[in-house]
Amino acid sequence: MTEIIVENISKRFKNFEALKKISFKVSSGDFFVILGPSGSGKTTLLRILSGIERPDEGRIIIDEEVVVDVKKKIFVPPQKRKVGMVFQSWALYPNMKAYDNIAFPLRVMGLSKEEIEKRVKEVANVLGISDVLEKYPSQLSGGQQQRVALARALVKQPKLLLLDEPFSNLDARIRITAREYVKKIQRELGITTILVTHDQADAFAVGDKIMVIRSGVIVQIGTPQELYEYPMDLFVADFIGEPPINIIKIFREDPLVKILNIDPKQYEEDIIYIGFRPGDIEILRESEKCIETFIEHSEYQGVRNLSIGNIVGERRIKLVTEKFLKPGERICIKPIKIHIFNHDGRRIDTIQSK
Amino acid sequence: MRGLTASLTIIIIGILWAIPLYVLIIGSFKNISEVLTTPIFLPSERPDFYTLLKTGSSMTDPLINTIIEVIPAAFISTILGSLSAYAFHRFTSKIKDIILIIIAIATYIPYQSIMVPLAIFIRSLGLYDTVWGVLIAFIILYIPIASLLMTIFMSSVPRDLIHAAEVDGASEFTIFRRVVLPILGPGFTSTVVFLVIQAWNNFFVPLILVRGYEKHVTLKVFSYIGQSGNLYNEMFSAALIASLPPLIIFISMGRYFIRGLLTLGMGGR
Repeated sequence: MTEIIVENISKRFKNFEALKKISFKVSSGDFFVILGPSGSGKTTLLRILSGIERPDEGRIIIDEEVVVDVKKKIFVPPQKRKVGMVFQSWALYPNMKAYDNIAFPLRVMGLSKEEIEKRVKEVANVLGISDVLEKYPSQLSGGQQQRVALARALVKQPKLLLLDEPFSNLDARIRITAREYVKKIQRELGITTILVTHDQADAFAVGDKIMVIRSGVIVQIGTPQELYEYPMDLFVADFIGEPPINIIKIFREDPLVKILNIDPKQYEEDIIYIGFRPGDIEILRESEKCIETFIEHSEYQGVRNLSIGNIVGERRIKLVTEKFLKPGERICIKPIKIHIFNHDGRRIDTIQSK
Repeated sequence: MRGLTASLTIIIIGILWAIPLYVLIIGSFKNISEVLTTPIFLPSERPDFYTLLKTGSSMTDPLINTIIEVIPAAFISTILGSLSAYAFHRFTSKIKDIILIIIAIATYIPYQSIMVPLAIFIRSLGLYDTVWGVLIAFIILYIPIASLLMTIFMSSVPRDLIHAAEVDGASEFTIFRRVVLPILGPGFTSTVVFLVIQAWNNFFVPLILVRGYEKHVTLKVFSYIGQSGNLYNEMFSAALIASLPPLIIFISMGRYFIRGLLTLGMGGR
């Protein structure tokens, strides 16, 4: 059982501050997802955890062993960290067959031939790649390559498994099954896992906990539900959820103030932003307290149908409804759950009606 | 029309290149009287293998000596060159940039300009007039170009692979031997072939470092230039025999050589 503690990790590349005093903790056996847009420093953080990169500042503890402490000049090289890593590019050794790729970490450890064979076969069996062991990486499909890479990371029974964008090189269909088996294997082995992704769907599919990071700073850490239902700020609110949340800027004399009964004044702001999920709405018959919406465009998708509507002040909103709304229709909507953000984007209130 | 022009150009250039080779080959098959009486471009009416056999037997020692000098020198330089290229690939620092610049300078300096100190160095090792002296001189002269070429080839090795091997627990040496070197294969081969041909055709280095004509093929070929008129049939025979080994190496390894050059052309990708 492995607990990971990260304290005050900072990293600079020339003039670019990739990470700024990052601190967090991963509980033993957790599937922890680091979610952020490109350039947010998430991959750098993963590389620091694996030991490929050295931080400029901070401390990392993996299973009660200090692997990095910049102040005390402690740096445990990647070879000795007992971590397994799957790279975005898979990084399979092109000159070795799948079997030798998986066996590589064990050969380096100096295990006996029989032991290596036993362990490679075992992990290949779990991942369902027993029949491709004699093939070279270039002869494998994307999904198989990923499984081989995962097998290579798991075969040495690491304390910590690191996954760098493991699904981004897979096409949409395989991606869903890949998420499923990665999650399943992680749960079965109970191995502490940190996954880095820019795709919120990946994060939601596998994560027990998600850490959102932006420009080298942690924005929010929480379970998928917490992030979705109580985003800390506009960034998280906008980043999470598909289709994305509707964000509307409200000024003091806005006609919406009366309709929604939300006034920037009561928060002592000149402007506020309100956010509501496309699905968190009710469609009402004519009523005073609803937003009149002209449907401009709609897509029939089956169970949930997406429409784009135009509301007062030429503002566009996205709606997700069970009923298919025809373009040109005029409806009246009422958001059920509204997040309120102050002028610099921090969430200050959430109003839930009935 | 454009295709035709291109073909014609290639044919003309090909002929220009082939003329000396043609003269060399027909010259090797002439006997002594024909050499003195027939024009140089005219082939012999009765090809004569005697000259070729005669020079061939006297070429045995120089050929063996040259092989002893050239093959190990090319291999050792390339291995050392790839080790330094790997080090450059792995570690970034200011010193690395400086060393790379020094290597580039060392590559472009005409080697003749450092022959005197090199000769003094070889003499101080007690290796003057030995094949080992020439061998060591070749290694010293070819390490910079080998490092430079291997550095360019090295940029085609994905860093992720090296990082993966690191995380897998491999030591630097294991990473180099098991992961990097196999990927560098074509680049490594073409560097070795390039250096073999360079060293094989080198005349100046053995000329300065050994006495007599027996310790390098180029010296032996040179020995057929007489002070009063040349017997060009013997000289041509010797040159033909001397140029066969690099030709054979180039033809058998050409595939790798060209693949390596293509890698270079694509910026090492």
